[in-house]
Amino acid sequence: MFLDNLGDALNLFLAWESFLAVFVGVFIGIVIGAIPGMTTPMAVALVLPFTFAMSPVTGILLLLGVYKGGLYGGSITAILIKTPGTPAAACTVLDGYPMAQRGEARRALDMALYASVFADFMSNVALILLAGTLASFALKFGPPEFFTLIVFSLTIIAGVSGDRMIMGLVSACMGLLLATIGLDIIYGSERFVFGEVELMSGLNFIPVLIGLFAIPELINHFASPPSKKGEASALGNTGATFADFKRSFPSILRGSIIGVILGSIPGIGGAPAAFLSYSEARRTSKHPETYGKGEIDGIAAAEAGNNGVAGATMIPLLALGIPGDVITAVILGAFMVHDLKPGPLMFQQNIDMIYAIFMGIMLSSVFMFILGKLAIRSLSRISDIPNRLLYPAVLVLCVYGAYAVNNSMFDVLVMMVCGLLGFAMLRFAIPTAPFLIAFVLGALLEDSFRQSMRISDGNTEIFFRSLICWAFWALTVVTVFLLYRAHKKSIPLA
Amino acid sequence: MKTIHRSDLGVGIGLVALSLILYFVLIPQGISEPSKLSSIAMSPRFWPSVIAAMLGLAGLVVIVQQLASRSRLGAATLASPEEHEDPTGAKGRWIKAIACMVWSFVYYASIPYVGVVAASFATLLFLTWMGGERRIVLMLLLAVLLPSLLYYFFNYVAHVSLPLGIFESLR
Repeated sequence: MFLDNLGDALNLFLAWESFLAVFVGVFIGIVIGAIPGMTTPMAVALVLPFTFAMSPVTGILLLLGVYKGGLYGGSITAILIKTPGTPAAACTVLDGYPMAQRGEARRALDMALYASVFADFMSNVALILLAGTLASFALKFGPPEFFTLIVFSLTIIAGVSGDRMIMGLVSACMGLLLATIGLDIIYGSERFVFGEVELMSGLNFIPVLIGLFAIPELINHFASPPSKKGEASALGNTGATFADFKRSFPSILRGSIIGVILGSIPGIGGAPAAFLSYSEARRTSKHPETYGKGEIDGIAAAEAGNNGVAGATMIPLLALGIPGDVITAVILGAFMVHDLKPGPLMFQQNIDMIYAIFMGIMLSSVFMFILGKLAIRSLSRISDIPNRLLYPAVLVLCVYGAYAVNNSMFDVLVMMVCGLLGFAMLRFAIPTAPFLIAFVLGALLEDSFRQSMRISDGNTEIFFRSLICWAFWALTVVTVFLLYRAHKKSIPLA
Repeated sequence: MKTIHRSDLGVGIGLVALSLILYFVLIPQGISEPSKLSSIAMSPRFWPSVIAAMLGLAGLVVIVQQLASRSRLGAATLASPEEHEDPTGAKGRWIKAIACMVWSFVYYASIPYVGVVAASFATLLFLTWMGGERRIVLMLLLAVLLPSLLYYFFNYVAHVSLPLGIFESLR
C-alpha cells in the first residue's frame, strides 16, 4: 500500500515542471526576501495567480519555494546593510552586521545559509514524520500558554542590553508602547490614534524596523569622524568553515527544534522563534558577552530558529486544515483553488499528492543551498560599495520598500521618524535591540494576556492552568535568576 | 563592567517627564475607555499605563544611578558616548548630519509632488555629493539607474503603484 502510494507520488513529482517550480520559487523568495519592504506573504500572494494554470502539486511547490526562499533571503540585507528584509531577520542583524563591519560578511552569510538550510531540512523531516503528534500538541496552546511563552521570550531583552540593563528596559518599554498604537482588540477603542486613520491598524513592522536600523547608520555616517567612516567593509575572502559549523551546531540544532515546535503552533511565526533560539544560544554560551558584537553563533541560532518554522507551519495546515500564518493561509487558498481540502481526509484521499509535496519540500532545501551560495557571491558585492555611495542608495531602497508595504506615504513617514528615534538612541547609547524585540512581540504579549483575562473573567490563575504554562514560568524564573547573577558578577564592588 | 554615561541624567529626567505626560495627558486623551469593565486588566488603558509606570520607574533609577555615580566618582570621570570620537571637524560633521536629517524629510515631502523617481534622483545626487563623492558620471549613473530600476521592479513586477507626482502622465 505504502509503496503504491509512493509510486503514485513519484509519478506526480518526477516532472520537470515540479523541479522548475521549486527552483524558481526559491529564487523568487530569496530575491524578494532580500528587498526591504517586500515581505514573504506579499511574494507568495503575488505568485499565487500564476499557480492557477498549473497542476496542484507544481503550483503548491512554487508557493512553498517562495516561502522558504523568502525566509532565508531576509538575512542577506540584514547582514550586509543592516536592513532586515523580514521581521524575523531583525534578530540576524544583531550579530550579522557587526561581523560585516569587521570584514567577515562572507563568513556571516555562509553561516546564515548553513543554519537556514539545516533548520529547513529538520523542519521538513518533522513535517513528514511528526505531523500528527505536533499538530495535537499545538492545539493545546491557548492564550495563557502563548502569554507565558512570550514572557519567556522577552527575557532575551536582558541578554541583548549588554552592560546597559536599565537602558535596555527603557528601550523595551518604548517598543511595547509603540506596539499599543491602533485599535484595541477587545473593545475596538482607538489607542494613540488621535484621528489619524493610518494609525488605526497600528504601526507596520517593516517601516519601523527599517527606520530603526538603516536610517541611523546613514545619519551616523555623516556625524562620525572621518576615521570612523571608512569604506564599507570588504566581503572577506574566507567563508564559514566546517569548524564554525561544528562549533555552532548545538545552537543550530536547538534553534531548529525551537523553530519546529513554535512553527507548528498556529499564529506564532518566525520572529519569536528566532529571538527565543538566539536567547537560548546566548544563555547556554560560555561567552555570552560576545553576542550582539558579531558572534557567529548568534547568527546561526537566529537563522535556525527563523527557518525551522518553515516546514512546521505546514503541519497544522496539512494535518488539521488550519493555516498557522498569513503565508499558509495563501497556500490554503491555492489548495482550495484546485479543489483540495487539507486536513485528515486529504491524508486518506490524496496521500500521493501529500507525498509528492513532501518530496518537493525536501528538494527545496537543496535548491536553497545552491541558490544561497550563488546569492552570496553576487548580492554580497554590496559590501564592496563605498559608504558614500551605499548609504544614500540604501535610503532610496528603504523609501521604496517602506512605501510598498501598504502603498502608503504614511509608512515612509513612520520609517523616517523611527530613523530619528534610532539615531537618538544610538547617540545616547540606548540599545535598539530590546526596542525591536518588544515591538515585534508586544502585540502578541498584550493580546494573549487580555484574551486570557477575558476567558477567565479576570482570574489570574489561568496563567497557571497547564503544565505548559508552569514549564514556561519555571524557565523564565531560572533565566532571570541566571541573568541577575551574571549581571551582579559584572559589577565590581565599589 | 557597567557603563554610566554623562548624558544619562538628561535621559532619566526625560523619561520621567515622558512617563508623566503619558500618564496624565496622552493616555486619558488618546485612549477611550468603555463605561463597563469586568476587570481593570481588561481596560484598553491598562497596558499603556503599566508601560508608562515602568518608563517612569526606569527613569528614576537612571537618575539615582547618575547622582550616586557623580557623588562617588565626579562627573568628569563618567563615560560619554562621543568621547572616543575625534573632536576635529565635529561642527562640520554635525552640520552634515543635520542636513541629512532635514533632507530626508524634504525627500519624503517632495514625493507626492515630483514623484518618487525624481525625488530619489535629487536625493542621491545631494547625499553622495555631501558624502564626498566627486565623480559626476558615477553620481549621475547611480541617481538615474537605481530609482528607475526600482521603479520598474516595484511597478511592473510587484504591481506596487508608486507615486509619480507631476510626471504621472508618463506612467
